[in-house]
Amino acid sequence: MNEPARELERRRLWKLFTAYLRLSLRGKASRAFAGRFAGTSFGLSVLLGMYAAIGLAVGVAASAHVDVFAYALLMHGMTFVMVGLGLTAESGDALFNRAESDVLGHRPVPPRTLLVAKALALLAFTLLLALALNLPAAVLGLRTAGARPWLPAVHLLAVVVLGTFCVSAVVLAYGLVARVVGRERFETVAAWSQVTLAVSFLAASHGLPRLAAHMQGVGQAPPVLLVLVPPAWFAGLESSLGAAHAAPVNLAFGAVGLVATAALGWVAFGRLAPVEMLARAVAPHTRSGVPAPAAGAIAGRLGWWLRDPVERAAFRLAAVYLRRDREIKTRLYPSLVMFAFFPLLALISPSKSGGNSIPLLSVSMLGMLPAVALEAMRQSSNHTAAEVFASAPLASTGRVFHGVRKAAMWYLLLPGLLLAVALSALIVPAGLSLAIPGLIALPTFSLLPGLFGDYLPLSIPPTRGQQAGANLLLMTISTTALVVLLSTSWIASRTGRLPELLVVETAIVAAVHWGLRAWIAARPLRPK
Amino acid sequence: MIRLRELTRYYGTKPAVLGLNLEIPTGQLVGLLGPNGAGKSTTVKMLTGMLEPTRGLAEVFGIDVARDPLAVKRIVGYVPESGAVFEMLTGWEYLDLVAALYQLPPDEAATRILRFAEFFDLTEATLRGAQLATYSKGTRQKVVITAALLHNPRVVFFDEPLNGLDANAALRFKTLIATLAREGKTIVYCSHLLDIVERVCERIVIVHEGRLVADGSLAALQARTGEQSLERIFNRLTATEHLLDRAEELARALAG
Repeated sequence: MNEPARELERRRLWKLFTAYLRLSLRGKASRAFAGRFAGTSFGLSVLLGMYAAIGLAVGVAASAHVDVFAYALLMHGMTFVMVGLGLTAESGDALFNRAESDVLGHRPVPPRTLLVAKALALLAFTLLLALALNLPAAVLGLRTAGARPWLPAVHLLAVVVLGTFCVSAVVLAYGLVARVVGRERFETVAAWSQVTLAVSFLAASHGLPRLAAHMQGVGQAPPVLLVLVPPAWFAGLESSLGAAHAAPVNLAFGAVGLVATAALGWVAFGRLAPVEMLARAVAPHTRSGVPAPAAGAIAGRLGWWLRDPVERAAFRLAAVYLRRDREIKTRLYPSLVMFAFFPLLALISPSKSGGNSIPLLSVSMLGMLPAVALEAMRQSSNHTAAEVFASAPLASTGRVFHGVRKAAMWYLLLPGLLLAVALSALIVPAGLSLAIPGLIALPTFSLLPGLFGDYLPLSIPPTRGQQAGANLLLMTISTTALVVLLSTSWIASRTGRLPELLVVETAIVAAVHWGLRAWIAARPLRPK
Repeated sequence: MIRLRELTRYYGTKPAVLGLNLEIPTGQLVGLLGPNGAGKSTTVKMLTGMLEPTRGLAEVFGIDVARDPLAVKRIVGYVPESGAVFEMLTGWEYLDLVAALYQLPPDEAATRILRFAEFFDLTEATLRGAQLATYSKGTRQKVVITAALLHNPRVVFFDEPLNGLDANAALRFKTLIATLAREGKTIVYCSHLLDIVERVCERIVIVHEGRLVADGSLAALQARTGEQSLERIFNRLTATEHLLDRAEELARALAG
C-alpha cells in the first residue's frame, strides 16, 4: 500500500473508530437514563461521575489498614466485574450489529479494518469506564501500607492492561465461536457465549473474596492459588511497581498478567480474529430460517392457564423471543445469574451461607425474577412492530401483560424454582418448610411490574433507556415486600409459628393478588 | 364514513396537523398525499386511535375516536409505513397473534390466513416454516397487508402499502383495493407514488405543513391548477420552485 492509500486507510479507521465509540457511549448513557439525559454528553458525564463515586466510596472504605496488593486486588476485582459486564453487554451489538449491513455492507471497507475499529472502540469504551471507576481510587491508594508516591500512575497503568485483557478475551471468545460453529448456528452460539462471558466475570468476582479471605494480613505474601484469578495478576503488577516491599509472588503474578494479556491479544487479533464472521455479520440474509420448536404447542397444553386468547398470543410471542432473540437472551440471561447465587453459595459452603434459611432466601429472591424478565422484554430494536398492539382493539394492556408474565413464570421462574427447591432439599432438607412462605408469594410478586404504566412487550427502543423512576419504585416495593416476608418467616420459624404465618400470609397475598389484578385490568390503554 | 373537524395535533410545541377538515363517504377510495412531514401519518394515527388529537374531532362511522378508540380500532385496519413485524415469529405465528388481538376464533383465523396466502401466492410452508426475519421485503409486506385485512375491517388505512412489492404483487394489491372499495369499504391510501394514486384513487387530498391544500378528483385538481399530471399538481401545491436550477447547481458543485 502506498503512502496516500495508507493515509486514507488510517483516516477511515479513525472515522469508524470514533463513530463506534460514540455509539457505544451514547448507548451506555441511554440505557442508564431515561428522558432528558438519555444519550446526551451530559448523561454520559453523569454516568462516569457515578462510576467515579462508586470507586471513591469503595476506595475510602478499603484503603485504610491494608497493603497495596490487597487494595489493588479489591479495586481490580471490582473493575473486572463492572467493566467486564459492561463490555460483554456491549460487545454483541458492537461486533455483530446486523443493522450495519444496510449502512456498511455495500461500502468498500475491508473486514479487518472494521474489526480493528470496533475492537479499538470497545477498548476505549472499556478504559473510559474503568478509568472513571479507578481515578479517585488510584489517589486513595496512597493511604495503603507501603505505597510509593507513584502508585496512582501505576494503578492506572494496571487498569489499562486489565482493560486490554478484557477486550482481548471478548474478541477471542467470538473468534473461537466463529471457528467452531457454522454460520447457521452462529447467532445462537454467540448469544450463549455472551451469557457465558458475563457469568465468568460474575463468578470471578464471587470467587475473589473467598480466595482473598485466605490472606493473613498486611504485608503477607498472597496465596499462590490466587494466580487462578485474573484481577490478582494486575494487583501483583501494581504492587511490584508501586509498593515499597512486594513479595516475589507479586512479581510473578504481574508477569503472568502481562504475558497473558500479550498472548491473548496476539491470539485474539492475530490468529483467531473473527474477521470472516464479521464480514458475514454485516452481509444481509445470514439468519437461519429455521424456527425454534413452536411455542404454540406449549401454549396449547397450558390452555387451562391461558384461557384468554390475547393472553395466549402474548405468551407465545414472549416465549418465542425468550428462545430465539439474541438481543433478549444477552440482555436477560446474564442478569438471571444473581438468582442462582444463594443456592450455589449454599452448595459451595453450606455453613457460611445462612444454614436453614437457604430455602427461604433462594425461593423469596425469585420473586424479583419476573420483574427483571419483564423489563428486559419491554425493550427491542424491533420496537416499531409493537404498533400492532396500539392499533388493535385492546381496552387495556392487562391481558398482554399477563401473557408475557406467564411466559416469564413458565420459562424462567418455574425452572429457577425447581432448581432452588432441589438444591435446598439436597443441602438443608430440614429447612425446606421455610421455602413455603416464598412460594405462596411468588405469583403475586410477578404482578408488581404491571403496576406502572402500560406494559407492552418489545415496545421500547433499547436506546431510549429504562423507565428509571418506575423501576426504582418497583425495586423499592419488591425489596420492602421481600424484607418483610423474610423477616416474618424467619421469626415465625424461630418461634414455632410457621403454620399460623402461612394462614395469615395466604389471606393477605390472596387479597393483594386480587387487588393488583383488578388494578391492572381496569387501567385503560390510552392513545399517546 | 370518516369526518374530521378542525383536527389538530402538536408534538410539544411543534404542530404536525393544523385544523384539518375533511369528510370521506363510505366506499370511497381516497389518496392522501403530502411531502415528508406534512402530517399524513399523524392524521392516520389519530384516525386509528393510536394518537390523541390535541384538539378537534375525528369520527369513523359516527364514533368519536377520542372518546371510544376501542370501538374504532375494531372496525379499522392499518398498514403502517414502517411495515414492521415481530421478526422472530414465523409469518403464521405473527398472523395468528394479530387474529387473537381481534378475537377471531382460531379456525376462522386459519381459514382467512390461508385465503390471503393463496391470493398473494404464499404457501403455508413459507408462512409456517421460516421466521419473518428471513422473508424478502415483498413477502413480509404481503404478511403486513394480510394482518391489516384479516379481521375484515370497514375502513382501511394504507401507508405506503406497495413498499417492496414486485410488479405482479403490486398489480394484485391494486386490484384488491379497488374491489374492496366497490364492496363498500372506505380506503385511505397514503403514498408518494403519485402515478399509482392517480390511477387508483377516485379522490385526492393533499396536505402540506399540517394543513389541507387541495381536495377533489384528479379532473378538479387539473382544472384548479392548470397542470395535467398529478406530479406537477403536487409540485405546484407543495414544493419550492426552481427545481431544475437547483439540480443543475448541485451537479456543477459535485463535478468540482
